[in-house]
Amino acid sequence: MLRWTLAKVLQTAAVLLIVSAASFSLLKLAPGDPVELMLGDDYSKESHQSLMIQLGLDRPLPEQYVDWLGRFVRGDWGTSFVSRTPIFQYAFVEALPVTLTLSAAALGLALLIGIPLGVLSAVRKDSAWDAAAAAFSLTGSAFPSFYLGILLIWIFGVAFGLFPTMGFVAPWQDFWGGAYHLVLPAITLSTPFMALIVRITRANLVEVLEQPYIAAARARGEPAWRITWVHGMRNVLMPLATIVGLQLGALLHGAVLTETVFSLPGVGRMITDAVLNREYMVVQAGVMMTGCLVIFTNLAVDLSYPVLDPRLRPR
Amino acid sequence: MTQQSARRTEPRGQSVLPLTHPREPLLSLVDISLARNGHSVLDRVSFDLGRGETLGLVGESGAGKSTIALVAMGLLRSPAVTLEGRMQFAGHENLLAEPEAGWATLRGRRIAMIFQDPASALNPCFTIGRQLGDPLRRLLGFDRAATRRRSIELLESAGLNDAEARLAAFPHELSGGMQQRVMIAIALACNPELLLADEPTSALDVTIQAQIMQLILSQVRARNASCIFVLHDLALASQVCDRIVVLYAGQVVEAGPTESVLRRSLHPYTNALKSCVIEFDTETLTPPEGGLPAIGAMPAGCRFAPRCSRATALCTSQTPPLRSLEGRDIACWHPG
Amino acid sequence: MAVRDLSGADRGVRLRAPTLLRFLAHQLAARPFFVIATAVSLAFLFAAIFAPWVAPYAPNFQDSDALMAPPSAAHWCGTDSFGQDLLSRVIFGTRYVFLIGFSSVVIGAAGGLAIGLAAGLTQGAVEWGLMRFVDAILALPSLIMAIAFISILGPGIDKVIYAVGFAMIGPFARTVRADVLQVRAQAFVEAAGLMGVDRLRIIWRHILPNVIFPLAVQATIRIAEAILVSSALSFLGLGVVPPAPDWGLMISEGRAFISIVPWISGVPGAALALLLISLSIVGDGVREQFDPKLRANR
Repeated sequence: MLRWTLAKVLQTAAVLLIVSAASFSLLKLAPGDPVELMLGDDYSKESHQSLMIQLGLDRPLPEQYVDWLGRFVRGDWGTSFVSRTPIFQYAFVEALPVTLTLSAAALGLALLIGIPLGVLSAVRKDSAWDAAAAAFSLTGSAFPSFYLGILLIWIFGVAFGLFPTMGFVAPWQDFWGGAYHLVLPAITLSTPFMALIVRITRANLVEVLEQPYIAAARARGEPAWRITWVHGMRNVLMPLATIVGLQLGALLHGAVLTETVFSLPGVGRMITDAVLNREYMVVQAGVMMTGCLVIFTNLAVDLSYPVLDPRLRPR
Repeated sequence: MTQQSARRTEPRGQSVLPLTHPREPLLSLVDISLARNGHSVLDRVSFDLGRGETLGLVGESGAGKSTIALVAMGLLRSPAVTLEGRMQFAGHENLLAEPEAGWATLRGRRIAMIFQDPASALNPCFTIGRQLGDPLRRLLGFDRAATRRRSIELLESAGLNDAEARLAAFPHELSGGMQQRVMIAIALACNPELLLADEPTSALDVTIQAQIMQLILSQVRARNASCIFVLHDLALASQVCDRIVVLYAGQVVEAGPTESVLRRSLHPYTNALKSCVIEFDTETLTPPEGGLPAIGAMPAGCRFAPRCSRATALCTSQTPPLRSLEGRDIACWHPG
Repeated sequence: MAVRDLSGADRGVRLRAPTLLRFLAHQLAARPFFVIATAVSLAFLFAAIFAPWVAPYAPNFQDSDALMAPPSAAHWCGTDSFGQDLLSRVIFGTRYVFLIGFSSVVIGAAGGLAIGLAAGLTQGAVEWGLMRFVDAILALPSLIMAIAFISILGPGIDKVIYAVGFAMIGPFARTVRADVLQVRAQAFVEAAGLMGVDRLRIIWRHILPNVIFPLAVQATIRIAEAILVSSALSFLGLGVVPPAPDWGLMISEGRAFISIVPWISGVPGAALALLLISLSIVGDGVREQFDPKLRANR
């Protein structure tokens, strides 16, 4: 068990290194001279040279990489020349919580509605419910999320004026205000995810319910709701967790779009703005942060497998 | 094509044999007919079971034996299934007509089932203790301490040593034989009057088979319960069952005390089954030709007629009724 | 008035049509959604190929009399803020959609094939390293990776194709590797090796055919994903440059006017949604058709 955990951690470390190397090369491959960008239009050759040495840009690449990595781990991510604030402050302290809040809300919504819908679909297989759920899951997966966001803005925000259509209010400062502002973005972000959860839950539960141990449980007189939710769903947890864990990347992908549509100051918006403003250091920080987030989540999911499936535990 | 619907209105008749025990039968199946998606699976199956009796349902794979067991547990209720007939059990006139609520009080407490493959009949995510304790807690209302004590008792009487440690184990950590012992313990936890054992040893090693059958028999007899064994092994049935019901393609062809039925079989199919049993001095094997008719293509008349050497025009046109002859029930136009 | 004897010609037509019609009718009855979805997707493809003949106006033709006009007889779907006919722009937009969709999937599949083969055929430290590499690629969501690539390459339709293509290498590589491992484990590959068939030949004759087919199936399914990502890029302003009639771009342009003239975003968005849903249904149907058989073969 320990060996397996160590192997996983080692794998994760290797992947992190590769991602960091890729992020580092992002900056190096970006067009334009970073020093030029930082100095602005009017600069002298001496100031250019001295800034280069100061930034360590004259040293060999591997050395720069190590140096950068060291600084990154310590939280020194450079300074944004557009806003003049430390990028760490901007990205990690301000933008990340927004994205995480939005993602958590979307995830919660998707699970809260998706799982019961999937269960209903499985238990009442081939009924009208099942067909409706299948239609929803197909449409929800394929529907472009940014368009959905705009439609929601139009219907609920503009036409009926029910929900705010932009801006972010931190729920930890003002819970109801925050929640109110999160409704439309959370619905937008969670829809494709919800669709997937419905489909996965249904497929797995249908398979589980056909197993002999379910018939055996029924033969012991277990009430129907327990058969479904205790005996059945317990066996669905593992495949569900796998899929959910793997979908974090997709969630972040959607977050980029949702944040743009609803003007939420999250990581996605940060990266997009940075590309438009040619702020490559910010892009780099964003890419690195996103990569780390996904990698650590995958690790957490991997480590949770033995907990969810007793068959994977060491004898 | 088939002509089931025309036949179904006439009952084939209830068993008129004197039972081994003079009291009221514990279980009475009368004219059970089941169709799945319009195709006949069971056709007017009838038999009785007395208290303390062991009965063997014998036949080829696909003959409908497991289906009968599932019907007796009330587990075959779905839109695609049409079920007719009467099932008398535990004071209920016809359990089949009752809603799910009526069954809920019976399952696990008065009627229990052991499944064929213990590995897949135990939930892989729950410990043995949890699966064993559930019926005790829910059906008998035991508290935690009592549940634990009783669970250990049950496991030990099922032949598992180190029972306490087993409570915390998961099914995949046990061998096939141990898993089946656990299943038996769970099934008998609430001391049911009727136990259904669906091929309890088919998935186990030969060396374990005898032990498990012995265990089931001793446990059932100790509770003075009745047991229906679903078996395809005639030799095994001859050893453990008081009475035998031979099934072919969803119909009862011969039924009666094991001794009479096997010593002098009157139905050609029973004879064919007997000839398949390999004994110590068997020199030649003559397996019966052909196979069961396909579900959607049941022949009119006697369903065994296509494979029977004694078949006549009568056999292919009319289904023989179940009647009493020489101390057993038999459905054949040309018995003997 | 001459009466032309068309009986012979008619008979010929009449004999062929029922069979084709019957085939279509049977398919429609058996799998209605699949057939409809395929028809819709083909309609879009048709529009893409024959755009100049199907569209009523040139995509960049600005009708100064009808700025932000609602749907009317002259402009079936209305016009945008420049007076450009939305229907025509949507029709021309299908060209971008399919061009980017197909090209990027080809790039992704090719790259995925190469890496997947390499990862599946090597062993030991090399395999481990390659797998970590694939994990790293997969660690970044495709949109973010595409954005990162755009940041290096700059905007423009060709850059979009590369960016989306590269971003798709990861998922393809993973599938290919899994397939390669499956095939490698089969006895006949081992047998071939034991009989002295050289490695390259084994790859070419045995492994590749078993990998190409599922890859093709995957590619069909991922076209929708590629379209989605590229539209998203354009929506964010990081993709195709205006005034190209790219749907993502159009949706973005109409966003500001959503309260007064919703159709500027609505129409291209509806087209995008419709195409994606149809492709999704088609993809599901394709996968159902081929995957179970593949699984059975395994």
